[in-house]
Amino acid sequence: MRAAPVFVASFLAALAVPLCAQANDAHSSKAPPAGAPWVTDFAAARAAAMKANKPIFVYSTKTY
Amino acid sequence: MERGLLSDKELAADYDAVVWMYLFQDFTQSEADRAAERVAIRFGISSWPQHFLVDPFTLTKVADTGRTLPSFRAAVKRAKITPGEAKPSVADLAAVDALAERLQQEGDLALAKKHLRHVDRVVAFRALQIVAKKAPKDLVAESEWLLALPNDQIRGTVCDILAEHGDVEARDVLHGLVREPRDSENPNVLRIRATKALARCGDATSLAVIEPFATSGEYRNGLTMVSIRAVATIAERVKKAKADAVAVLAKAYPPLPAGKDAAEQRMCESLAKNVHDELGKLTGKTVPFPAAYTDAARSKLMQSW
Repeated sequence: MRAAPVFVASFLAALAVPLCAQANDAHSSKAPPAGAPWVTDFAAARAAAMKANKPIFVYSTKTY
Repeated sequence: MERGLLSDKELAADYDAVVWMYLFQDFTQSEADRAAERVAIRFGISSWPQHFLVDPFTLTKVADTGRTLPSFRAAVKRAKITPGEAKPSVADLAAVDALAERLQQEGDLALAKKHLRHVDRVVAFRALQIVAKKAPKDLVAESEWLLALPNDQIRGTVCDILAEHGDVEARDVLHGLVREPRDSENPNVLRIRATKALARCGDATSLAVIEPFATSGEYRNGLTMVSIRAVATIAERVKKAKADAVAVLAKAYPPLPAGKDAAEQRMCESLAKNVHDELGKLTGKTVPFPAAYTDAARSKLMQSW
C-alpha cells in the first residue's frame, strides 16, 4: 500500500508530459516533421530558393 | 502547427511552392545548434515557434504564414520576392557567417569592439555578446543607437546590461522602447526587459511610462509584476518619485476575474498581495490584507495608502 502514492505520482508525471506537449503545438525534435521536403542547412535552402525563384518557408522551433 | 498546417494532408499540393527550411535549436551549443542560432539571430527569432517566408535574394521576411493551410496559402500568394542580384551575395553571407562563428569561438574583446557596428546583424550580435560579458560598461555608452536597431536579441541584451550597469542617460530611449517596441517579434518580452532596465535607469518621469503596464491588472502577464517592481525600485532610489509611485501602485490592485475559476482567483489574489507588499515596503505603513480579496476589499485597499 505504501507504493500507492509513488505510483500515483509517477502516473500523473507520465500523464503531464504529453499534456504539456499538447498544450504547445510546436514540433520539438531535431528531425523535421514528416511530410514536406525539409532542408536544415540555410545556405542550401537559400541556393535552392534562388535557383527556383521561390520563397523560403522558415519553420523555427526548439527543444521544450 | 503540428495539428494544423503540418498535418494537413492537402499540404502536399503545396510542397513545390516554397523551399522548406526547418530550424531547430536545442541550446547545446553544438555546431548544428550554433548554425541554427545564427539563422535565428538573422531573423530576430526570440520566441518559438515561428513560421514565415523569406525572400532568398534579399534575406528579408516577406510574410508570416500563420498556422493553417488557408493562411499559409494566402501568405505564399502575397509574398513577393525580387529575383536578381543576391544581397548579401552567397560569398558575403558565408564570410559573415564565418566571422560570427569566429567571434563566438574566440571571444576576443578587441575583435568584438571592432565589429560592434558591423552591418551584418549576426556579426554585430556576437560582438555585442562578448562586449556585454567582458566590458559591460562600454556597452552602456553605446546603448542609444543599439536600442534603435530593429533586432530583439540586440535590444534585449542591451536592456539586460542597462538593468545591471545603466544610468539615467539611457532613460529616454528606454521610455520609447517601453511605450512602443517597434519592429519587435515579441513586444511583450522586449517590454519586460526594457522595463527592468528602466527600474535601474529611470526617474520620476518614468512612472507615467510604466504605469499602464503596472496597473493593467493582467495577472497572467509577467510584464505586470515587472512593472510594479520597477515603479517601487524607482521610488526607492528617487525620493521625489515616491508619492507618485504610491499612487500608481495603489491603482495596481487587479480587478477580480469575471468567472469563478479558483486558479484564476488565486493568481489574481497573488498579484494583489505582491502589490500590497510593495506598498507596505515603500510607505512603511502596515495595512492588513483582507481575508477575502473581493471587489469591495480591493476598493478599500486602493484608498488605504
